[in-house]
Amino acid sequence: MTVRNELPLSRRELSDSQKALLLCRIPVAGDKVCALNLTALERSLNEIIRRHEVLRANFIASDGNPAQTIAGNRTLKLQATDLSRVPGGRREEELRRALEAEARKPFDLSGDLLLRALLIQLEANEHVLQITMHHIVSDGWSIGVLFRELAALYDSFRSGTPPALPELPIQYTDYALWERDSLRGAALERQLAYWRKQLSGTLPILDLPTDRPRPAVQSLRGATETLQLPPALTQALKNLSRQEGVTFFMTLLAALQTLLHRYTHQEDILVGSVVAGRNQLDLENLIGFFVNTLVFRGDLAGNPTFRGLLRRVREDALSAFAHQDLPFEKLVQELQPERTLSRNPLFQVMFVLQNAPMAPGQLPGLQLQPIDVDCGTAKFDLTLSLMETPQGLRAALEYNLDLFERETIARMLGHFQTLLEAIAADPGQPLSNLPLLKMAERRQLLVEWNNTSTAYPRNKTIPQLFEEQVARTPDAVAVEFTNRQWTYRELDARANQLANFLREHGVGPDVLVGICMERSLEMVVALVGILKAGGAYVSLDPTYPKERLAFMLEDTRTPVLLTQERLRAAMNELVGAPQSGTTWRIPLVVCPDSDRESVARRSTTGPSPGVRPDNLAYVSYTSGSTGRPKGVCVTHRGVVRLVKGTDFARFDAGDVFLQFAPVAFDASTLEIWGPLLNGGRLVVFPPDAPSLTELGEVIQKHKITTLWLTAGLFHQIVEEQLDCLKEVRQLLAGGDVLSVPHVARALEKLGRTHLINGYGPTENTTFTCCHRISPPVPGDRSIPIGRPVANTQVYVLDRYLQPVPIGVAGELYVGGDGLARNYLNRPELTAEKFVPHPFTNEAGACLYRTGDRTRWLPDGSIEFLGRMDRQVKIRGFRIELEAVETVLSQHPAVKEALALAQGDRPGEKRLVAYVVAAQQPAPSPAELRHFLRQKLPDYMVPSAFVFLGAFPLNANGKVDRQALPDPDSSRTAPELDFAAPRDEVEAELAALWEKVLGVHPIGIRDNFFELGGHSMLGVRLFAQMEKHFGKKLPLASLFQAPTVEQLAALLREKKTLSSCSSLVSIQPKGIKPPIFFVHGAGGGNLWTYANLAPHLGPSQPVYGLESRGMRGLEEFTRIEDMAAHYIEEIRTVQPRGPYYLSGYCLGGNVAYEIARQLHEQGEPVALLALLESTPANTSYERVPWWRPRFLFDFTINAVHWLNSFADLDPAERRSLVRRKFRTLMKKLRQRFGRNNAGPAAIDLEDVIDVSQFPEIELKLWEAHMRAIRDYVPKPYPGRVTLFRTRGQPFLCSFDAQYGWGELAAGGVEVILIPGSHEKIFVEPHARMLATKLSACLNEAQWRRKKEFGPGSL
Amino acid sequence: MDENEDKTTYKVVLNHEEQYSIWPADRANAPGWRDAGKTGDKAECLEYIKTVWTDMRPLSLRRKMAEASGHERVA
Repeated sequence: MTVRNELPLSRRELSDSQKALLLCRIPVAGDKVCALNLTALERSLNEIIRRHEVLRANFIASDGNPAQTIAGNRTLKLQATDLSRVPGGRREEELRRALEAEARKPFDLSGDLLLRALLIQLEANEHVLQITMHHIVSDGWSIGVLFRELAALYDSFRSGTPPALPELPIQYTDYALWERDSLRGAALERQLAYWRKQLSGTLPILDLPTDRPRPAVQSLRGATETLQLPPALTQALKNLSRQEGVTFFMTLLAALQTLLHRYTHQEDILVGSVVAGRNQLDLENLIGFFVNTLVFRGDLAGNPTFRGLLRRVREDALSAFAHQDLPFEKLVQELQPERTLSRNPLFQVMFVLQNAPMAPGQLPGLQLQPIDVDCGTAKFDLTLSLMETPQGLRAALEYNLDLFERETIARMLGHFQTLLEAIAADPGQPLSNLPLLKMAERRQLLVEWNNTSTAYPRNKTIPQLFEEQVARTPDAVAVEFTNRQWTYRELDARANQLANFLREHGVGPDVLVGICMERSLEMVVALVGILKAGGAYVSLDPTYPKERLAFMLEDTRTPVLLTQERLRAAMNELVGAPQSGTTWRIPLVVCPDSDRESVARRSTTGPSPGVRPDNLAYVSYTSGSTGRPKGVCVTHRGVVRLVKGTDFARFDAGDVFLQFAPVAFDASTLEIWGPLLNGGRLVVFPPDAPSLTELGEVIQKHKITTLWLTAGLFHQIVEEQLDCLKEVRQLLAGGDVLSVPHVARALEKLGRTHLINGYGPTENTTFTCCHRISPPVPGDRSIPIGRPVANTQVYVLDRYLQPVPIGVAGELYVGGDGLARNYLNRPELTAEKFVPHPFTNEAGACLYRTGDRTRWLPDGSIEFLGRMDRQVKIRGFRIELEAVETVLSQHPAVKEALALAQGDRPGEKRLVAYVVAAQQPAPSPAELRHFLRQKLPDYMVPSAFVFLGAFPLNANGKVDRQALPDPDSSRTAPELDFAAPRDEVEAELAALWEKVLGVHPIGIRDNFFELGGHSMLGVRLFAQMEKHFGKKLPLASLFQAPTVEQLAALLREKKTLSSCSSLVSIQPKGIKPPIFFVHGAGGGNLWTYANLAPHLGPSQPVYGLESRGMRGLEEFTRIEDMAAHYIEEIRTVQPRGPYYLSGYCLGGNVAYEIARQLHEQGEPVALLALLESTPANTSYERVPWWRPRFLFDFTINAVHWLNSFADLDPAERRSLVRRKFRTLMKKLRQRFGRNNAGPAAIDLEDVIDVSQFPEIELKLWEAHMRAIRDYVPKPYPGRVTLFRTRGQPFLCSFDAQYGWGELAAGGVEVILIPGSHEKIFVEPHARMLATKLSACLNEAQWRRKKEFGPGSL
Repeated sequence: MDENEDKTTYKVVLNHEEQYSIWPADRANAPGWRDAGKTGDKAECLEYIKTVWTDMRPLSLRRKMAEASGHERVA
């Protein structure tokens, strides 16, 4: 039957077939067929299959390489579905579902006909025909060929005339042979040379903003959004193309590049596209996969006009087309781009313009119309397909579901349309000016989400509002310090005396007064007094370095310095000994405590205010990038806007605030003026540096209701003192990124507390945005900084000051009444940072540019991404250092983490992590790396880790990055991060690894599994190793030797590995007690356990017990002997109990027997976890035909079986049905007595599809089936934890406990897991199983600990 | 940093409060801002501002403060 065997594949199939094993198809759907001649239709399709031999092709793996076979003839059976009885309203929905299900059905490349057809009947005379072809045998053009031939043939067969289509002169295989021979020598070299040059230098990686963090390994799950563009727009773009002398394709490609540029802010953009690849004559009538992928490199640097960009794209595209014959796969091999499992190599976005001849076929008397079917896959981050239709261009944007939400993609399509419209209207605009946002969207971002105006005393000053409060509640307590309290009246009187004193010494509006005092009642008087005198306060913290204080004295020209007796000498020394060359006026040093009498002589009636809302209230110094501190000048209005008529927190007379932050920090603004301008009480924390315990005591003793904590302190309190916050009504935390686990913990424990993330630069008076955090807190996202607070506006802008769309990163610009007036004495810095406000009607308003990278979230809140200057580029990848730090600090053993890019030259830059461990010993770099790899793409995993006892801090209490040690010189880095091969064996082995894993480079100590290796890759690696080194190693040795170094050592050994140990260490490291998994029937389940191991965490050691038969030794015949042998093996690792045991299927019976024997020997078993395992020879196997519920249970179970069919591929289904039918027949025969003769021979066909297993395993299957048939389990006093699926064996007693109840005296805990019996170790089920198993392990370990103390795990 | 180097030509602008700032030379001014008559790269514009913006208080505040101290002196 097979006429042509093992033909060479066209080079494209080679690579595509690997992917096609997963999920690539082209669905073709025709619509609305009436008066259908079914026979003619089916005959037509079969004639097409006869004409095009590629449609009769199958692909098998031969010696690890795919090869093609072509059958002499194959017959297609038209499948049919009838929806005509579905009510009209639901029919379209049902139709869509049927089409999608058909499109998503996988092909078995080795056996299925790779074209299938489904006819769906809607009405008597209305059908939908869906033809699905595998991508390996078709492309877009092929669909046109198919339709044309279908039309012609159908017409002939219907009318009975002979088909008029001429036979095809050549077949696809001829083309494949021709192609293989033609691209050689100089022709090949020319093409290669072009692409090498075109794609030289660092290749950019498109950094699209995603809704979800990019997973370490990208899946192919996808979906598609579509948008119909108006015909007029389509026409306008065509006209533009004509005018500019470019093709329609080039215009659309340039527009897509512009869109991506605006989304990523990148200027070097790679986009993939396909060419039909049918340049040769005679190819155009063939069905087959001819397309080739080309890479277009867009240069968008320098903000050209769109017209200018078109010229560049034209150049690029013409030369790319001229070199289109080089197969893409060859190009990838040649260029060896940085490979990562998280992205497609070379390009991440695909662009397709479907102008292949796809005119709807003319089935006579029938209408055919293509419809879209979502086949649920996405090969790239994004694929934009534009199709010309009579209604204009139709855009379909396929996106990866790991990365994007539907709404985001819909918005993106809208932006593409806006962009195209603007391009058509004026292609002469610079790219930066082209709009993306729809009008409504723009309004939402600029106006609606900034509509924060509230009524507040905008034209009053702090002294005015304070005095109003004094008048309202003179006798209320205003301020409290240890055991002393002052009322509003007392505070006012003292402040007035000081104000009068200061007036006499030249203090008035905009005059700065230095204050160098510890937290005390006097300090509060000083602050109020300075403002009442009309002046503004500047904190000179005595702990600052002398030079810094001297600089501040000079910068502020303060006439008076308020301090206290204890610090007088130091201050006198400071002001009396100016640095050389400084010119300040020596200020008067006053100590309100010891100079009390001279102050107290002044009147208790305040001076006339004479101060205005835009006069200064205080100057707060922040560190500048040049090292010179800059004084931020904050106005009265800024402070009033923070604490009056605001919405981020409630301020009223009942509130008790803690004054805790140093006055030099702007958080003190909120702490002090929040209560004093609203009638609340201010509790001043004692001056000394607090311990957490003291802080907790003060909070509880004074019943603090509103509290501000910096992120660092918040995290500490959550860890150690959480209970002291129980009565706090409003907890504001921020100033730095909040840790998600800490926030989640706080929310869980503090039911009544409002937890608010506060964000804001000093330049916008303490808070700009606030976010009230409510559960649940997603673990994979940062805590948003929320929305702008009252009377504040925020904008996320690109470098051209254009608003960016939701989700796209940009710099945060802030405006409103909180804006500082300027930087003290720094006109140039002020002009640079406070820029004109382009989005307001208020004349002359400013925006402050924060330097913070942020983005809008769809709900109108803002997410903080990092500092603009903390985004680095390493090996072409853009990395957000903060993102690495956030994930790293989620590790329980990490207290603080910092990531830096080190190395000066671009090629040498690498990512280094600095870690302060939460516990000793510190986690190993391998463990941290493993942790990060689960959450981040590998290029974001640091290449070196440096452990420090604490981070070096600068004067501001921030980490001093300059002072961090270099990783190379640091002896604390306990691990060499990359080790190159040292000899030929290692080098060759590393090369094989690179090939198999697609990761480059590979160090000899890198772990196979940590690099993404899994069972299939392991099989491939060992096959290659055998070929290459001529030595066969057992697959299990990869567990013992998971690095190049260790494997090379095994290979170098003269003799083969002949360990007689059954114990395989799958993951030997970790501090927890080990878990032992017993193999299932056939002996080959260890790999599946290996898939579970990573999900159990790095601290959980995992061992497998491998069947002796797998190593060619005699297999045990009795389960009891097997168990006894395994106990010996287990004891080599863990001599004494308690033991943790598990096993799947047959392995469950063995594990049970192990547990039973251990118990007999007096050893405790902490966990016996049986995975989908039923006990042999119990009543469970007896079918209770007589029970009234039997039919019900049987039906429920059958429904489950039907459902779980979805998990299986067609071959598995056929085999399963065959087996189940046999079982049923056998049981019926037994039941009805026709064949009741003793123990039958073992018939493996009953249980497995024998064609799927190698000989050695079949033998073991048989041995194991025999052993289990003869095994009669004895009772066990302990407990069984049964992990079972919803399904049950086909015929059984349908006992929920699978019958273990009658054996396990300690009871049976049943845990339901997803999937069917055969699929529980397959993702996504494996992860769920591991999660539940992990919970059981933890629970069991915890129980042991509780019962027997910490040492008894 | 190469990608982020600012090659824009700026102009110096000021508002009715005589507060100075910079703005891309090829863009229309934001509402209430006018040209001060200086264009150049960023550093040039900022250097210019350093020389002309000597009193950083908003104009209206300067006037009112002058008025107030005048009253005081009279009183």
